Amino acid sequence: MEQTRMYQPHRSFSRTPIITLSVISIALVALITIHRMRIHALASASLAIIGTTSAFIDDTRDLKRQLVGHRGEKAFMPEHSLGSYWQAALEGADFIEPDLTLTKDGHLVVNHNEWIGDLTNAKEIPELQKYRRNLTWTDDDGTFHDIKNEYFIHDMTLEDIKKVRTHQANMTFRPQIYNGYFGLLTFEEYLQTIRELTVKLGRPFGPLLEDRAIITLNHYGWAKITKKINTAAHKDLKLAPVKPLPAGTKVGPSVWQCFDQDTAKYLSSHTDVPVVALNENTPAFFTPKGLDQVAKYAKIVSPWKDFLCHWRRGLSEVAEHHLGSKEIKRLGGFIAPDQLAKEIHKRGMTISPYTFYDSHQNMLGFCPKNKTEEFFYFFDQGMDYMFVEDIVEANVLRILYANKLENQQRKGYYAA
Amino acid sequence: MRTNDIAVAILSLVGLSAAFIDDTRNLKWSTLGGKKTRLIGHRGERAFVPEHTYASYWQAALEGADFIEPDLALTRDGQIVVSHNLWLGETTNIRDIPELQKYKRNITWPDSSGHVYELTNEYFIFDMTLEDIKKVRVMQSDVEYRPQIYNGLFGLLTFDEYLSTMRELTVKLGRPFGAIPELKMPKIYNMGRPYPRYFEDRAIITLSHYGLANITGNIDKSQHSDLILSPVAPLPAGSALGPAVWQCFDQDTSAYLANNTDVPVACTRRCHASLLHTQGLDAVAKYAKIVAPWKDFFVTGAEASLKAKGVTWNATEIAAMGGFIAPDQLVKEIHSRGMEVCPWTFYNSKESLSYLCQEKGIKPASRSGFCPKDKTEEFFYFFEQGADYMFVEDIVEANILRTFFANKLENKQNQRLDS
Repeated sequence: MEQTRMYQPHRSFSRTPIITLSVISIALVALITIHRMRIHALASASLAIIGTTSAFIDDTRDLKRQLVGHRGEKAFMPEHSLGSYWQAALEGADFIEPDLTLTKDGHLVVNHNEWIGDLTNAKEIPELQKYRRNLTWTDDDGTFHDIKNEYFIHDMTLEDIKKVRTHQANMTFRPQIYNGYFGLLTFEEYLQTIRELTVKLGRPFGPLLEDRAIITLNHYGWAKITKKINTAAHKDLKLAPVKPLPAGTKVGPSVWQCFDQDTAKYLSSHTDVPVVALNENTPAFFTPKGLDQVAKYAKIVSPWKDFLCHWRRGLSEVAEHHLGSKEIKRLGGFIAPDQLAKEIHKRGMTISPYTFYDSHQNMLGFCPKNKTEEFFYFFDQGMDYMFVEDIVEANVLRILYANKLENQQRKGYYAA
Repeated sequence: MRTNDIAVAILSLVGLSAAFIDDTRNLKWSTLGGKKTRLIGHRGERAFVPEHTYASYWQAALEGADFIEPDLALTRDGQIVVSHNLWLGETTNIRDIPELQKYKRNITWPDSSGHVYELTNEYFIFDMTLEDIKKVRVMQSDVEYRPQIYNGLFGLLTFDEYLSTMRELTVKLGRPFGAIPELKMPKIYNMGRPYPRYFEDRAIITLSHYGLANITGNIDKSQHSDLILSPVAPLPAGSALGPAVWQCFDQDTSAYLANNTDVPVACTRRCHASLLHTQGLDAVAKYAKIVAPWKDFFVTGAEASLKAKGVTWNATEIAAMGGFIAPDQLVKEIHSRGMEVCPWTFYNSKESLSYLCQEKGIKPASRSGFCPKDKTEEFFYFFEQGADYMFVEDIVEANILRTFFANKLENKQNQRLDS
């Protein structure tokens, strides 16, 4: 899918096609398009746990390293399905992540990609074949996308999308037994699920997306709108009535996420919800002056994990080509990977790298020898959040690490 | 040399290459072998997924269970299926299947401990053929915190399918999972069969077909040529089979299994008073390698637990046999006879702990008077006591608690080193 990458795509996002469409429709509906341009930056949700009242066995030593269930628990269940969210919740994830996209008729749907052919049975549904097409576009950062024979969410209505069933990626260590069972959820259904899990499991899980998403999130009590948005343009957005939660239910906070920095700034200025700046290919981001800019609108920085481990040659070359070495120097030069967390923390932001996989998966040529080394390295570096798959393994590692810390502290005490 | 020893040895070897995050710290536990307590997925991971389904076994495996438990039942046409109950009305959609309604009936029978079962309007496995049973779909118990989203999706498995699933999981997840089949109600399932040990022999033949048991007695396989057994592919290089353990509430069957295979037997006799005094234990030690009582025998104690079940006993007889063993001494007594301990069942933290000592007026019969206030206290008590295995639901929580306890052990060990 992504051709200039040398590693397995772990995040994918598309913007230009919608921008193209929006340019045409600007003449027709001026106000909506500005928002449409931003909506296709994919966003994710974060959750905070208020652990004391939950029935799950939390580590009360509170390491302050939180686990984000990547698309739910996609290591065990088809991603972004009802099963995936239940699973992540049952395993005690601190956060459960959805990705949001927009249908042709303006409904927010939870899906990672802009297209659905790869992880659903769309190819087998006769009435959806009319949507099959090729699409090419270039992102703002210069990344070229060439997607062939796919079914794009922004071409389809919600009714179309509700016809498909999802399946698990074809990996031997993942159960293939739920294939064809789950469908795609709307953002609203995701939020209702989070509410249901919060009440049934006694643990506060939280959520996220923009304008349409801002309105929806606000409707569910998870965001306050701090700057005027055009609610009139979204009168057709139908939201289900929200029942009050049982007395004593604690609700988690919410967090926005976005790869698109313009969107991130917009979200930051229009709600009281903190913003996560996601990044894996903007050279300036990883320089001191670049980070200063990010700190103006983001509370959390979320890089691809490799930025904290070793420097990616590919990015260096891209940086040289696009920015030139003079510009990089002006920005303060690239921050060394083992200093990145410190620099982020220094600017009052927290850090949330992605993604830490199930131990059966390839480490992607990563510097640590195994998953335990990997996790201990990142915990040492002071990660505030981590996007994980196989939340069970992640939690065990977190506990083992907390104990290592405790032992170290105790030794220090005895030594004194 | 016992299969158990070999299996433990294999487990520790393979543990190094397993992909799950196992706690490999070299710590000294109070178990019989000194290794960490092993977790048994009760009917798979029934806290999350409908019990005894293919999904339940996958789930338990993914969460790092050491053993995964099936319950065995026998159909009318002699095939072994996995089901906890002898009847299917409670856990499946059988009531909605028109062609199975002819099996609906009432049954009353006493089991060997004197307890009388009375079931009305139920569908019994021994009345139905395998083909009948393959029509039903399993439902999750209606418990609020359990996802109801898999209801009707999965069917029942045969013992053969369970064993091939275990093999599949062992290979795909790189971990040798232990099989711990329990034969349910053998005296009932053996009624109307060609000979009295029909059920046991079928189970033995199946387990041996999968390389998990050696047959040490004389079993006439010619009587079982209709038993459905799938072809078994050789294991890939580097894979190893997990251990196997038999379970049974029926002492006769337990002894038979011990005498006819090399697979260790867990004696799960909850109701019979003879288990819980020293002479009774001596008798059990003759054929069982593992003792598996209801967990409350270790907390509130035998007397209160038996009383609560309406079991009576001759006080003089019990006194002559050494009297009831105090709950906090039970593990020690079992270990001193070279047997391991395997209490059941430890539930999801949202469920009741289910100890009698939590009720008003019931005091534990231990010196310590221990009665757990929450799941963490409960688990730490059993780990401290040296439980060799524990039947658990919500394997995620169980593993977390086991890791916390290991931390505690490690800290204690470090303290000794520092001083």
